[in-house]
Amino acid sequence: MILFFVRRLFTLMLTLLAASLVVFIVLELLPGDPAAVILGINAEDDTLAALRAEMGLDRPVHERYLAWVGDLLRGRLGRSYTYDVPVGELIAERLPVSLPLAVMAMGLATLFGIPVGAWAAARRGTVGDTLVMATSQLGVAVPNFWFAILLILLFSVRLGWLPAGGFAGYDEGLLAGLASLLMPAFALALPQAAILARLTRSAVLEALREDYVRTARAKGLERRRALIRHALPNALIPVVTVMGLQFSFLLAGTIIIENVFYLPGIGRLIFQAIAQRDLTTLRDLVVLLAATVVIVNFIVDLLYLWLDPRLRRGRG
Amino acid sequence: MALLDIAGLTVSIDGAAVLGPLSFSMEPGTSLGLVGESGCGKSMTALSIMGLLPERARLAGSIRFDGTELAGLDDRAHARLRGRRMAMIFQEPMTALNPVRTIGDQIAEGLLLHGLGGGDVSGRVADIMARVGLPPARFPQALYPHQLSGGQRQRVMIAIALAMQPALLIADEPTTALDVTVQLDILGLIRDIARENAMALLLITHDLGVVAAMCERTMVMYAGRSVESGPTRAVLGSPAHPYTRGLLDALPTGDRIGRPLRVIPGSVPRAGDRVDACAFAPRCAIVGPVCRERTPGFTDLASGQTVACHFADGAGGTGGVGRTGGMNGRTG
Repeated sequence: MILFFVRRLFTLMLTLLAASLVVFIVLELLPGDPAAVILGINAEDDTLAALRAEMGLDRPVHERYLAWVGDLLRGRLGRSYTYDVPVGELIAERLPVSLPLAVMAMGLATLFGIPVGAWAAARRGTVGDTLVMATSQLGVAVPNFWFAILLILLFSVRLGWLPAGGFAGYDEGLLAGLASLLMPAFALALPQAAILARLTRSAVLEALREDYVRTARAKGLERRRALIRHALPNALIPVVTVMGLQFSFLLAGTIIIENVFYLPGIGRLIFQAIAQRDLTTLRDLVVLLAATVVIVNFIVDLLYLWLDPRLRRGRG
Repeated sequence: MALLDIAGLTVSIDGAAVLGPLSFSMEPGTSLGLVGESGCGKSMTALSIMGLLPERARLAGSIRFDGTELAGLDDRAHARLRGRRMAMIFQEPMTALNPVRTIGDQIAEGLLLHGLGGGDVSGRVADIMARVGLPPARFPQALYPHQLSGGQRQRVMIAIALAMQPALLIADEPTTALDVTVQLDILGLIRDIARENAMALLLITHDLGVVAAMCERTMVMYAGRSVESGPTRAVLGSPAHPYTRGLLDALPTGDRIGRPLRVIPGSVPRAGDRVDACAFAPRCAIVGPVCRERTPGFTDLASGQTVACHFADGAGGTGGVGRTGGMNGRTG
């Protein structure tokens, strides 16, 4: 078990290192000079050179990379060109938007996807099942920014129930803040819920064919109870794997959705950093996202151990 | 009153008949062996009684169990009988247990479900496990199936079945998937447990030796029907149906060392191919014209056997019998 953790921690570090290298190289190859962006097109050559020197852009590539990684390892993030504040502060400001958004979206996707999938599996071949399958197919196919616009049209423009965009903040209480995240979370959750529903359905159907479900029914469990108590726990093993992978798509989705809803979150920050060539902010943020994905997948691995006793063999 | 009374039972899947018509009955505490090749309908018979047929299967006829008509019973009502009044042990212990739940949990589940645990479910589970040869000291209830061998898992299956003291225990090829060395242990355990608890035992097997050791009565099935039934001693000692004779003849025995095994030529007809004729006619050594025209009715013999063969009374087919004979003294 300890060996498992050590090995996981090692791969975690390695993944992050690789991610940082890729991010750095890509941003290095990106056209556009941050100093020129800051000073505008009319800047004098010597002012540009001075600013470049101040930002450290005149140093060799490998030196800059090592300096950056060294800073990251010591927990020191860069300073944003555009906002002229530490990136850490920017993140701390925006995390209260993005974190609840991601958690709500994942929660909604799980809460809808898994029960609906199991429900459809129990009613395989019926009208309800066909309806779920068709709807989820639509959910997978519809781009979430378009679905977001539909939500705004219905709930904000027509019904006036929820704000069309912006973030209310938590000053008027937690619920008021979360309410402005509800629609974006729905939009983010839709494709994930659809994928989860389809996957859960097929995983449950497969598990239902297993002998142990027949054993459970032979004990006296009704069909539905055997499904919930015996087929579902086994079906969740592949479902959880996909949930871990989905999380990275969800994070990428926040970049688009936060822009549609004008939410001051990490996704929007990334978008703005790209637009403004704010490379220090951008690379720190991308590494942060990579770290989040890696850590979430680590949690998924722990969930595995909890779900599947066969993997715990090493602990015995 | 009979514990189990099956009359005119037929099962079809997607319109193709896979079982029956089949009729037999069992008294409480008795044992019956169902014998036949794969696909002859043995397992379908068991699943019909348990109400665990695949959803596409259609059942007709009557299954009276303990005074209740099971044919047409909905899943909820059938589920109340399953486990509590009738239990089943399956062929494949490696996959018949849920891999993500502990064995103690799986044994206790039926007790809790039917409200039979009393105050101390865990203690009851420990007693049952000890009885099936899994002493608590070596086999904690927190073990998972993958930590056990095939034979041990089959003991867990027996414990699950035994837990609720059912009136009928169905064992479907319970040792086929096990090593030869543990087969006898498991069979002995099933027989003893059925006897101790006065359970009726319906044992499904293709192994005639197992039937000889375990069952008072035997029913030989072919192509979804009974071809011969009666006291095991009579059926195996003086088989009256050419198929039963063929099965016994195909057994490898000591006096035939070095000689090729005898086989029954041909193979079991496919489901749905069955017509109004003796299904065994294409493979039968004593076949006559009548066999291809009519399905044989049942003939009761003085020995207690009931045989579905046009030549059961020895009228017409005796020459053939002589040819496939040589069955003396092989009752197992």
